[in-house]
Amino acid sequence: MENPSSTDRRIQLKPLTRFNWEQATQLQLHDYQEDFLPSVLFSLAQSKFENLFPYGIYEGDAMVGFAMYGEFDGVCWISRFMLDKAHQEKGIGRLALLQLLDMLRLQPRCKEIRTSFARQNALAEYFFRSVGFEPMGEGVDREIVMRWVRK
Amino acid sequence: MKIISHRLWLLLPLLLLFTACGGPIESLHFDSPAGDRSIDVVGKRESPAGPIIVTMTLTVPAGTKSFSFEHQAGSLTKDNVTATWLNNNRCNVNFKLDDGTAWEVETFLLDDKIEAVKKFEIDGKSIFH
Repeated sequence: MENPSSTDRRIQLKPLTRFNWEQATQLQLHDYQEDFLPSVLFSLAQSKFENLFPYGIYEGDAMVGFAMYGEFDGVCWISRFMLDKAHQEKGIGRLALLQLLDMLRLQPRCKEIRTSFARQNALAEYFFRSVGFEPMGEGVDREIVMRWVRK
Repeated sequence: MKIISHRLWLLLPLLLLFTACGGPIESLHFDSPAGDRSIDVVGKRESPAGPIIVTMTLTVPAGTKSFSFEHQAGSLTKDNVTATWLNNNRCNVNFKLDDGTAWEVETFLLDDKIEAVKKFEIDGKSIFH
């Protein structure tokens, strides 16, 4: 029986560096998901101009996903979170997101954790709700903004 | 009698039109405490009885970002739109509705991030149950 603990499955978040950023650009979404978030390449470019921190999501030694957050005046904002289409629906995303939340809540500057996503992305809302996010409003680009409520 | 009746029929639509037009719509401007960031709020009605289409423009030294939304209120004035600056980079803009309740737009005016969140709350209470 599969053990869902992150330790056994070796799910880790690692900062993107000059050695692994190109791998991140090879991650792919299902066709229907591509309209929901910008490409990894766009996100990496954005991270050079905004206070954003890109990470690779690893299962063992393989990069299987991408996450990026920013810190803006005390609010830590998970601005990207995606898993490669070959690694979705295996529970990896949930484990990685829980790790990211653990990491963020230990940061003194993160007084609040939020995320946002395209309003058509119903799966994202279900996913973030499952770990304790609640909808709080609508953002500039009409996306749904959710806030993590500690439970 | 017939003339009076005709005049009434002419006056009635005009009366309805003026009633539906609602109150005044002002352009509002809010400067940050240090004066280097600002928020402009403008509104217009696309139909006499329709909502006010509000456009907020957030300005920081490096640039601006605008967004629009519908506001179901009779007027847009300095009396029913107020801004509270939490610091030089963050401001909550409060929009009062005709029934006295209010909702809020939370704004971030940072050098590398301009963001606004129109909250799913009325008077601080979530509209989701």
